[in-house]
Amino acid sequence: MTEFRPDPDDPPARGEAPPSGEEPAAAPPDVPADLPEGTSPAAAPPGPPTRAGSASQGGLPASGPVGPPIPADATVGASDWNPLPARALPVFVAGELPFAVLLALMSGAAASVLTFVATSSVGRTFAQGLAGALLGLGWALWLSVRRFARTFWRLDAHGLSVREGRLWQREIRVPATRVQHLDLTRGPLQRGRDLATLVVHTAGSRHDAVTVPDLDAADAERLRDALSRQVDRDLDD
Amino acid sequence: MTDPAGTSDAVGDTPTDTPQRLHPMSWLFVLLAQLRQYLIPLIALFVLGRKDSPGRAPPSWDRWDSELWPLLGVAVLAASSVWRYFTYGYGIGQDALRIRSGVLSRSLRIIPFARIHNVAIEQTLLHRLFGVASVRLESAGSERPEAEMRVLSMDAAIALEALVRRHTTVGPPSAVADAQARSTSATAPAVGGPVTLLRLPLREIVLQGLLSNRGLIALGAVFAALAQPGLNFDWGLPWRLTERLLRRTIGEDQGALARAEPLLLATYGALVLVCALVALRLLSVALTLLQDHGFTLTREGRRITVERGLVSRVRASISRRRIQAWTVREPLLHRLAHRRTLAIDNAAGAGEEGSGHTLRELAPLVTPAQADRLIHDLAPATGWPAVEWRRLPGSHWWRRAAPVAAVLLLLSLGLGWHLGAAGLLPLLLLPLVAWAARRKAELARWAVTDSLVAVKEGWLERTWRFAELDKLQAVELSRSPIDRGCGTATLWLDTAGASGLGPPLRIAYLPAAEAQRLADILTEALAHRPLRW
Repeated sequence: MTEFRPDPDDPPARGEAPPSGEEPAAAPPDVPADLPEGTSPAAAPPGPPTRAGSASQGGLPASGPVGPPIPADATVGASDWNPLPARALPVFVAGELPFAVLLALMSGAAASVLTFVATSSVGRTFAQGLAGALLGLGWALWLSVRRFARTFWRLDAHGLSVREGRLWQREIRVPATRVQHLDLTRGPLQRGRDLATLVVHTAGSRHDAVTVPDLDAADAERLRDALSRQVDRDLDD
Repeated sequence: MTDPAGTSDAVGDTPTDTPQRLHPMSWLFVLLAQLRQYLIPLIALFVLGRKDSPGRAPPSWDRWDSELWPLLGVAVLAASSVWRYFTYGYGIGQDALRIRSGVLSRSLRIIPFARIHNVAIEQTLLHRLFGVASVRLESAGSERPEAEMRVLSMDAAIALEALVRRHTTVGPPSAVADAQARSTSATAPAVGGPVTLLRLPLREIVLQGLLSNRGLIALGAVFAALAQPGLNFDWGLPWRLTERLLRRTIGEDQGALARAEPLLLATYGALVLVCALVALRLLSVALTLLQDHGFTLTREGRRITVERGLVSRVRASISRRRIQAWTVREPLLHRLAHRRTLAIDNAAGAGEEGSGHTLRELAPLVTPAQADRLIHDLAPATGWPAVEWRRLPGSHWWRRAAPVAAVLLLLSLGLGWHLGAAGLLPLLLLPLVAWAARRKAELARWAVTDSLVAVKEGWLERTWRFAELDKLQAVELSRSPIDRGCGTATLWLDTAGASGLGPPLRIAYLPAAEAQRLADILTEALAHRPLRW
C-alpha cells in the first residue's frame, strides 16, 4: 500500500505531546514556539522523530527566492504537518455528532427491521434496534476519533495545506495568493479549551471555503495573520 | 418616448456625477417583473378559487375571499413601481458608478468599474417596442447582480456598456495590465473597432437545433407542468384518442378490430414514434432559433461580447481576462457533423445557471478548426491547440468500468433470484461496459504546461477542459482506498465559477508520485502568481 508522503498511517505519537503544547511535534525543543524562527522553510529543523516531514519537501522543485514569502514569524511549525492539539478531541468529536446520530438511527432502523422480519416479536425488535443504534453510534464515534487523528495542517512558504480523512484521504492546498478572506470562529466548547476554527475563503467553487477545525487558538490566530498579510500584499500592487 | 434631458449624452463621453433617471417607462417593466413573481399564485387563485365556489357567484368585493383582491395587489404594485422610478437614480463618477435607490430606506451603492465582470443587456419584445433595454452589472462571486437597471433607453445602455469597457480596458496602470495590453496588441492590432470573431448563419443555427436535445428538455418541462397536482391532467386521454382513431378507421366491428390490431398497432406505433422524433427535432430547432438567432461574437479591445436571440435579444459582455476556464464539447452527433461547442466559466452571475444573462456559451456550434482558432485568439498565452498531451497508464481501465459493472452484477443477482437464468441477461452488457471503459482510458489525456492545465475525457461524447494557471484557486490531491491499492491519486484543480454539472478540471488515475509532483509544482507556481480575475 502506497501512501501520501509522509505516511499518514504513521501519525505522530500523540501521547508524547503535552496537552498544552502542540508545538513539539514541529519545532525543536529549544526554540520557543512564539519566537520568529528566522529560517526558510527548507531549513526546517531536523525532522520530528515520527514524521517524514522532509519527504514531503522532497518533491518540491527547489526554487530560489520564494516570493512573496510569508513572514518568517508566521511559519508556525515551519514546513511540517501539524496535528490538531490533543485537547481538541472531544470538541472535534462533538462537532461530528450529527453524523454519528444519523449513523446510529440508520443502523438502529436496519437492526429493528431485520429483527422484526426474522422474529416478528416487538420486544426483541426494540431491544435489537437499540443495540444496533448503540453499535452505530459507537462506530461513528470511533470513526470521528480516527478522523481526528488523521487531520493535519501545514503552513509553508506557498500557503496553507490541510490533510484529512482515513479511507478517503484528501489534501487541499490553498496558495496564500489565492486567499480571499479569513474567518476565525470560536464556539462555546472551543472557548473552554482555547481552540478556534479557521475558515479560509477562496474564489474557487469546490473549495470556496477550506476549514481547519479545532486549531489551537494561538496557532489559528497566527495562521490568520500570516495568510491575511498575503492578502494585503496582493491589494497593494 | 422622450428621454429625460441628455441621458444618453451624459452617459456617453464626459463623466458627470449628476444623478440620472431610468427611462420613464421603467415603471411598466418593474411592475411586470414583480407581477411575474406573483403570476403563478395569482393564476392559481383565479383558477382554483373558482373551482371551489360551487354557486359561481359573480366576482364582488363583498366576500372576504373575493377573486378581486389580487387586483388590489396589482394596483399597489403599480403604485410602488412608479414610486421606485422616482427614487432610483444613478450617476457616473470618475471610476465608479453610483446608484441611489430605495423607497423608504435609501441606499447608495458605489460600484467601481474595475470590479464589474459582466455586463448584460436584455431586450424582450416589449423592450424593443419601447426602444429600451434592461441592464445588469455583475461582479465576481455574487449570486445577484450588483445593479439591475430596469430599464434604460437602448442608447444609454450601450453607452454604459462602452463606458465600463473603456474603464476596464484603460484600467489601473499595473504591470499586469500593461503586459496584457501588450499581448493583446500583438495578436490584434485593431483595438479600435469591434472585430467579429464568429457569426452563426441561419444554416448553422438550424443544424445546432437538429443536433441539440433542447426539444427533449422542453418536453420534459411540459410533462412536469402537466403533472402538477392542481391541474388534474387526464393521462388516459392520449390512449383514448388513439383508440377512437382506430375505431374510426376500422369501424366498430370487434372481430375486424381484433384481427387487424397487431399490424395496425405496430404501424401506429411506428408512425407516432417517427412523428414524435420529428416534432422533437422541430421543437429543438424552433427553440434554438428563438435563443440563438443572429448569434454574433465580437471583440473590442479586451472585451468580448455575445449577442443573440430572435424575439428577445440578449447582449452580454465580459473582459477577456475574466474567463476562468474553458470547456469544449463534442457529443456523438456533433462529431458526426464535424462540429463542437465552446463554453467558458465566468466568475460573475454564479446563481443563474443557463439563464443566458452571463456569457457562458462562446460558440454554440463551430468546426474544430474554428474552435481552436477562437481559443487561440482569445487566450494566446495558453498556446492552444499546440498542447503536449500526456497519457495515463492504461492498466487502470477496469476502474472506469467498475461502478457500472457492480450495478450490473447486483441487478443480475436480484433478477436471477426471481427469474432464474433469464435474470442473468444483464451480464451480457459487461463486455460492452469493459470495452467502453477501455476506450475511455485510451482516449483520456492531460496536460500541465507553464501556462495552462488541461484534461481531455470521454469516448462517445468528448470534452476538453482547461484553465490558465493564473485562474487556479486551489489544488486537491485525493485518494480513495482503491487509489491506494493501485498506487494512484486524483488531482482536482479548482477554478472560480465552475459549474458542478460540467466536466471537472480533474486528472484521475494518476500515479501517486506523479500526482504529488504535479501538486507541488502547481502550488509553487500559484504562490508566485498573484490572483487576477
